[in-house]
Amino acid sequence: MSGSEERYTQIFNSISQAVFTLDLEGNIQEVNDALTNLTGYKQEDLRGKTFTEVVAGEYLGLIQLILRKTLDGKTISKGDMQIIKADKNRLWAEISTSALRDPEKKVVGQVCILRDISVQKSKEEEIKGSERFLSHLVDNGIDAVYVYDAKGKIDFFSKGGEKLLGWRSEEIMGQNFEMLIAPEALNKLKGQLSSRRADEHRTYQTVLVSKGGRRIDAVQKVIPISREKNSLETCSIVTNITAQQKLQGEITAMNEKLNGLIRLGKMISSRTNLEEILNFIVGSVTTFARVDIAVLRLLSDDKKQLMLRTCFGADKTVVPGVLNLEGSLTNKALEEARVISVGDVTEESALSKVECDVGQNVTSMLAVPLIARKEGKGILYLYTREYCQFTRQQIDLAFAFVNQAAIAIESAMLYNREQDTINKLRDLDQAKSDFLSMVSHELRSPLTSIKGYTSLILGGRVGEVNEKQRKFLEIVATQSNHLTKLISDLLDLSRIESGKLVLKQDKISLKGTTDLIAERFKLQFDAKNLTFNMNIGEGPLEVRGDEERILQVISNVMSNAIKFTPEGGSVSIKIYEENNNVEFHCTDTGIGLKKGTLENVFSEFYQADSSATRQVGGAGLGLAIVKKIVEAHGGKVWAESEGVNAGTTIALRMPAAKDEEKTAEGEEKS
Amino acid sequence: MGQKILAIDDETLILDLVKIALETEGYEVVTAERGSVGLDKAFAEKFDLILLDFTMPDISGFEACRRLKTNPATSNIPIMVLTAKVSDEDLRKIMETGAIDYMTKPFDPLQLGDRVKDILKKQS
Repeated sequence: MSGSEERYTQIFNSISQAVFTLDLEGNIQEVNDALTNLTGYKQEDLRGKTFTEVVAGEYLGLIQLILRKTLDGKTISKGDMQIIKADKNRLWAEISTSALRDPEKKVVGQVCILRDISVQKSKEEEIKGSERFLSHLVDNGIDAVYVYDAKGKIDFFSKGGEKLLGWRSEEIMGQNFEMLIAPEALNKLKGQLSSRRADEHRTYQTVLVSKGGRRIDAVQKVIPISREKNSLETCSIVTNITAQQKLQGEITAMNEKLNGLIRLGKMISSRTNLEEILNFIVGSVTTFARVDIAVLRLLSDDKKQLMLRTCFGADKTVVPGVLNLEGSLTNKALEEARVISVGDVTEESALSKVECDVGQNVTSMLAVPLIARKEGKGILYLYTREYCQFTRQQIDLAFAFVNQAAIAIESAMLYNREQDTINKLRDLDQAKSDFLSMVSHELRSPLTSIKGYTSLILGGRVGEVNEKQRKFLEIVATQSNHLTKLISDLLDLSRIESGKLVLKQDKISLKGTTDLIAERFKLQFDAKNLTFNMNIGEGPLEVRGDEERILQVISNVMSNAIKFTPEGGSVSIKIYEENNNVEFHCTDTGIGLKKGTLENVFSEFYQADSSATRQVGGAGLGLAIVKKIVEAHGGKVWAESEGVNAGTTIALRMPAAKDEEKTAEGEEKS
Repeated sequence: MGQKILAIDDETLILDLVKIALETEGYEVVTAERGSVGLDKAFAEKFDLILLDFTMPDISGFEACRRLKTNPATSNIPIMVLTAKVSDEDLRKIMETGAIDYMTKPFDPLQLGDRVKDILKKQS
């Protein structure tokens, strides 16, 4: 080797870059040390090999292109490829080639420089990897991401953003991010953003708007971001919460509906005026079902028409009052007890004019039948101004309210019937009372004459009366007295029965009352030579009630005893307290009662034994009245007797008066 | 004694009854079959006692009583009421009108005289 050749070889091998030459066929000629170091091949191994033999298969096309390009002598070609090293590992290398000329400037081959770019490449891969990852996140994990600069101009808009908001990235870039925010929410968001420092991470809830104007409830996480050196931008990571909002909204709406129904239930059970209830129903159903108008119609008595009852959202004076069922579409709703939904009333020919006349333009209609006791009783019509496809929820809601309306109406009807009955009973009572009054007067007047004139004659005021006349007239007198007593008792009984008894709650001493009555009957006792005994127990022996009436009771019982006890007999009274009750027993030694007839003695006009009772002038109503009065005072009466002629005991038991009771007036239930 | 008594009742039979009963005891009895007639007579003549039936058709006993009691000419005359009503409530109402006594129908005309005597005695 000559001196200059040696020199060039020295230079060649000193170059730190890997260099080699190729002939026109692409075979490796010279290689420098750097190349052998880089690739691990020995010089001898490389010389004579086609370069493409050490190039990784995928890059063959590229290398051939590069080599061909340089052969025209003018260009320097570069390319990145992978070389296969001597240890079979791959090496990322940048190859740059240029034409090799002979002294005549003829291209005889190529000079190639190989630069190890493995570090660079792995970094690139890393970056690509994380870019792919982030890209994946941005596109799939988050709903949208956009980045804007200090002036608010968007310079990044994710694919997710495109999907969510309908804008293509190109349309959005350079625009102010505010155009993505719904105008009604913008001021609030701007206010919130203004209080955010540029380096803060903050989360805000707002409403975005799509290209088409659709509102999207969203949560934005706003963070600072620096994608390039020295640039501070703002990144907004958007999460679409429309679904949650919707759910929340539905839950709230459901609560409102439930509360509405509960309130309605309360109104009905507390007998609120039916008008109010129906108005509440139409109002509620309009609000909760999100319709514009509700009209409630009820079936007429002849079942041929639907009469307007109440409405909401429409002018009641304009809505037709009567809807004839015949020829109407909603007739079906009633007959088949099902809902009828009409999307566009103007297009539904089966609808009669009246059915969709609510005084304003409406588009959709829902007819819900009101069913009570398996019968259709009315229809609730719901109308919307805009086209509406009625949802399951709306229909269910309408049904819920309509059912309540049915209940309310039935309830009101029953209540009215109840009231009617009560009124009728009151009227009946009044009529009875008037009748009694009249009877009382009509019967007493003639009796006054009978008694009066008889009395005058017997009193000698109109002349002398002989013995026989006297006897006969005395019979007239006695009988008319009897008649008078009977009338009195009858009216009494009637009054007690019809509950006109005003029950006082005074404390009455049975002993005191008995003494009083005994005093009154003294003459009668003496007349029949009867003995009278009183056996009084301990304690106050007081009951609560009406003094007049208790007097009547004791009087009637004693009078009865006297009546049915023959001469020389006795009447004994026993009064005592037992188990918080006061008992009064009146025992006589009279004609007694047949076994098995003990209760009958308290019946009106009861005659145990015709002959016996006729003798004493009839049984009368005395004991019947006693029974009624005692029972009205919460007590009990009964008779005891060993048999005929074995005497009788009439007993009564009433609750003893307690000190804490206040005076009260009550009406006896008839 | 010659005292004058006015008897007002819509039933002639009872009026006659009262008339006989009281005349035989020495009273002068004027009768009136209608409330209005009775009131006219009450204002026109001087009576010592008025017997008033409470259950009359044209003027009610309450009304008649009120008019008698509010007219100075008749306000001092004792009124005895004859009535078919017996309930406490009704009797209480009747006595509230200012009547001095009452008798329930049917009454014993012989006792009427005694009662009238008692009342007139108390008055003087």
